[in-house]
Amino acid sequence: MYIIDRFEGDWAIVETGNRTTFNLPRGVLSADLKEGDVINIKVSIDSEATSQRSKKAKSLLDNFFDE
Amino acid sequence: MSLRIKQCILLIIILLLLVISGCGKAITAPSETPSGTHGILQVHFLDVGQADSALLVSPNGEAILIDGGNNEDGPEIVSYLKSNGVKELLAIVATHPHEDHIGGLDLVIQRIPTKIVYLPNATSNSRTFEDFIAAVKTSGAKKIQAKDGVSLNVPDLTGLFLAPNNSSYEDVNNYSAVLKVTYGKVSFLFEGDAEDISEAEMLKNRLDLKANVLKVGHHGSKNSTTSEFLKAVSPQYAIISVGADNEYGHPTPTILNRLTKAGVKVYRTDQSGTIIATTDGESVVFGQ
Repeated sequence: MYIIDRFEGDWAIVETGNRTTFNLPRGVLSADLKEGDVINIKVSIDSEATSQRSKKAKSLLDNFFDE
Repeated sequence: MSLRIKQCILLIIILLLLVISGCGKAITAPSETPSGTHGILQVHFLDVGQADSALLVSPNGEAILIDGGNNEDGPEIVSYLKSNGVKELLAIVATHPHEDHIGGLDLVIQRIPTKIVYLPNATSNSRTFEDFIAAVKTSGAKKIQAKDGVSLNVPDLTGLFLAPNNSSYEDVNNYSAVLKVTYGKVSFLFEGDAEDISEAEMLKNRLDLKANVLKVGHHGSKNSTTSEFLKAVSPQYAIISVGADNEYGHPTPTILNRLTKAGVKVYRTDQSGTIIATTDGESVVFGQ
């Protein structure tokens, strides 16, 4: 279970089950979230964006090496 | 041996003796705290990173802890208290239930007998809060609601809560217990994370806010330490408890400029580590 302990500027400080905390940028949270809200976090892959980034990364080394 | 060389050697011996006797005092000073500090009030602003914790040791050796850092700071605070000879706490003040203020308090109260716990009537949904409340209940300490007008008196010291002045706030920070402690002619004002709304209420209620040392509200966030509030407190010194290079931009340039323009000398835990203020009731001296 993840609980929003507090907000500090652009960050939400989230408490985990064992009382450790981590920060999430406010930008990834829905705007209606408040301190004390228990939140679900499930992170999933963006397959399309991933393959685009891979393509782009590989292209950076096209004709890159001098020898 | 020429007279000049003899004089030099004599001078070196005298200097060495001075250094040795000085070190002796530095080592024995903390162990004096449990039996009293001979007319001195000590206020330790602990370096707990981006969090708050302050220890007061009264002239007759009574100890008060205001806030207990983040969750992971508990063991460090307990060992700091023990190394300063604190075997019992007269009081713990939990300014408000955010994790960076109450995090280590459950461990402190489990390890060090505590007579009274002061906290505002405010809750948090966190496990940190749940564990803190459980530890307070188990300890058998007296539980007093901190709010405007409540006294925290210690022999030689006058302690008075100036906030919260209201029973309902949208932002938990404004529930912060604000404590003014006076010894002789010297006062310290501990703001917790009180913000502009609470500061405006303290001003509106014409409370005596004047203090020599201001523990700056909310780690120097732009939402605390309004110009009007700072003017009413008119401190000589300000303490900001912050972690180095924290993600939140604390303390903000706005507040630092405001303090500087008001001629306030600022001490920061991210720059100085733990800061110790001592006062004989007449003036304040800072050390580390």
